[in-house]
This record gives sequence, structure tokens and C-alpha cells, in this order.
Amino acid sequence: MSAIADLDPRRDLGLIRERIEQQLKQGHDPSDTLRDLACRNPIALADLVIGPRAPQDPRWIQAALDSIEVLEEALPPNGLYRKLVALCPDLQTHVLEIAARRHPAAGWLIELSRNIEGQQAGCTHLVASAGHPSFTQNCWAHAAAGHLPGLITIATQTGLPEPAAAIVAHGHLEAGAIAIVRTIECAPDAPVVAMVAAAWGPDLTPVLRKTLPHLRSRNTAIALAQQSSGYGDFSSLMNTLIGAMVQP
Amino acid sequence: MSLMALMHGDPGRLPFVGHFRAVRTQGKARLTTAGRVRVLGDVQLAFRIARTIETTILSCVVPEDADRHGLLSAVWDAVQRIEACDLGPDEGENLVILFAIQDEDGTGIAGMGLGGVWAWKDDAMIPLVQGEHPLLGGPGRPEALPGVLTLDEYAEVIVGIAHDHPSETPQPSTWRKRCGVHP
Repeated sequence: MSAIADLDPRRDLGLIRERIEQQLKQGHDPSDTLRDLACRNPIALADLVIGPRAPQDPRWIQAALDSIEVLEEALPPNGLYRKLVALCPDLQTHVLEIAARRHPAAGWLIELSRNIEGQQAGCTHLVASAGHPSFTQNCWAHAAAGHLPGLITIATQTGLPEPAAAIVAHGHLEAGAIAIVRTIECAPDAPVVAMVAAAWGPDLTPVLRKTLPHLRSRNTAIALAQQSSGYGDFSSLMNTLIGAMVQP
Repeated sequence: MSLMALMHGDPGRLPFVGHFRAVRTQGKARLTTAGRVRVLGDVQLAFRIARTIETTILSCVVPEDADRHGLLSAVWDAVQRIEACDLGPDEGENLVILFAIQDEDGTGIAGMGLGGVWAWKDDAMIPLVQGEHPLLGGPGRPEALPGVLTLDEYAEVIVGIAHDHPSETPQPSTWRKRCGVHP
């Protein structure tokens, strides 16, 4: 039940803040109050969620995330999500998930991902945009920002070829080679060799040679050999290697 | 550095879809080629066709006594003999190819589907052909190449640009990467 039904958001903002703080102090769920405010005055809601005197309680931020579309009406998403993360670091991963789901093509997610995910920057964003037209663009942007472990994780989890292509296109051949192998491990038929060649150049042999130390199974080696059969020298090398591998 | 023919990448994140490159020597003659087949929306098919063309160029029979012209003729015949169905939905009608050939008597260039050809010489990109030159024309696989342009001066690298991106110009600072050449 809303605790502010009798108050006017345009006039009684101080009182509304006090009642919300009181609700939180007493352990009551502020969701109804927040929804009431969202319906009546999104600007006031935004002020009470991320304004200078906003209640600094994770339950309040959590409740605010349920009305994120109303908050976005009042504030530009870039600043909104940054502020939410700053206000409540405990919810930062959840905030990033929502931001990535609602704005998969947004460039500001690159820096926000780095701030939140550190070494694994890009994982949340790329998982959220895996089926979106912006996925390729996002892989390139994360590769340009140097988020290589995150891209390799996505290659490992999804088997999509774009992360490996993005890494190699930005000149990171060792990491690109790992991503190629992990992609094939996850999806042996994913056209990762073709896509990396499309991004890097027709002679892919220097990149392919770097995959060799990262091959962990014979099946992966066979799939890689099939994909790179057009490169004669590398193909011969792979056939020798596969012949010497006993592991399935 | 030996003579090298390169094809400038297309605009976009995947500039080398369907690009191929091969070097073939016979005696003292050397042929270096680069080109592109366009298969819209199918990176894997474009890749397979590109490797097919490379393999054809590298494995075709060339007379032992062939000079640069004989080498070019043998290679072009081999490219011509690739089954149309092996060259994608357009059956090779969109083939863009640049040849640079060399022997003791000189250097020449030939090709199909080119919008411009440059030479990298003395740290500068010099345009070799412009305007209505016969070397610049539509793509495909005619029975005979339109002709060979003999170069007056030696150049290490010849860069071609496809007919559908003629406004691109190779830049001294970026042409290597834009041609898919990496240190």
C-alpha cells in the first residue's frame, strides 16, 4: 500500500522522502509507494531515486529497478544507470543486466561493463545482445577496449564466431587463437575460421598456427582442420597433429 | 621484397569476405594475385570459394619454359575452367582479380573488375591506371583477359581496388592493414 497517497509530489517532496525512509526503517516493502510515485510524477521519482538526497537503501534501489522504464522517461539512460551503480554497488551486476537488456546497442555500456565486471568486462553485455543486430558491433567495441577475457568467455559459452573475429581484427592474435579454439569446442560447425579471415585478411595461417597450443581435444582439432582445409600448409600440419593425438 | 599483388579490403568490419591471395612461380617467372568473390550474406561460402580459387592457382599446370605471359595465361585458363557452380550463386560473374607478373624481361599487371590500381614505390602510393583505362572494368571471367599493362618501372607492391569501391584510395600509413597484410 502506498504511504504517500495523500501527498502531492510537486509540493510535498520532503514529506514523501521522510515517509519512504520511515517505511524502509520499519522494514516495509516500498514497492507500492514507488509505483504510486511512478504513476503520478516520474521526475519526482527520479529525484527520489538518484537525486542528492535520495534514500541510500538497496531495497529502495531494487524497487526502483522494477520501474526502470519510468525512470528512463525522466533521465538519459547513460547517467541513470551509472548513478544507480554508484548508489548501490551491491546491485551493480543486476543494474548492468537490465541496462544491457534494454539498450544492447548503447556505446556507454562498454565503459560501464569495465567498471563493473573488471577482467570479464563484456560478458553481461554480450550475453544480453547475442541475438541482437548490434552483437557484432558490440564485440568490436569490447575488443577495441581490450576486454579480451570477456570476449573469450563469450566465445566459450555461445560458440558464436564474432568474438574471435573481433579480437583478431584488433591485432590480438594470441587471444584470438584461444577464442577460435573455444568457439569450435562449443560449436564445431560455427564458421569461425571464415569469419576471422573476413576480418583479418585472406592469409590466416599466422593466426591458425597460434591455435595449436590451445587445442585440448582431437575432435576440436579435426573440426579446426576441416574449417581450414583451404590452407594447404596448415592443413598438412593439422593432419600430422591429429594423427598424433589420442584423446577424443 | 618480391613483387606482391594485393587487394584493398572493402569498407566495413569484415573487409575481406571472399578475398583470396596467391603467389605462383615457374622458373624465373613469378605471378602474384589477389582478388575477391562477392557472396552476399554468406561468409562461409565466400571463404570456401576464395580457397578454391587459391588452390586452383597454386596447383594448375604451367609449362616449364613459361615466361611471365605464359604463366599468366596458364593461371587464367585454370581460373576459367573452375566450374561455375563452384563460384557461388553468381557463378563467377562478380570475380574481381588482380595479377602482377614478373620475369627477367619485365613486370606487368592485368585483371578484371578493378576500380583502380596503385603501386607502392619510394614510400608513396602511385596510381598506375586511371579513367577509362582498359584495365579498369567490370568483374567476371571473360575467355581472355583484356590485356597486360607493362610497367616501365619496378614496384614492390601493386594494390588493386574493386570496381564497386573506386573512391577508396590506399593511404601510405594504412594500406598494409587495409590489404590484410600484417607484420
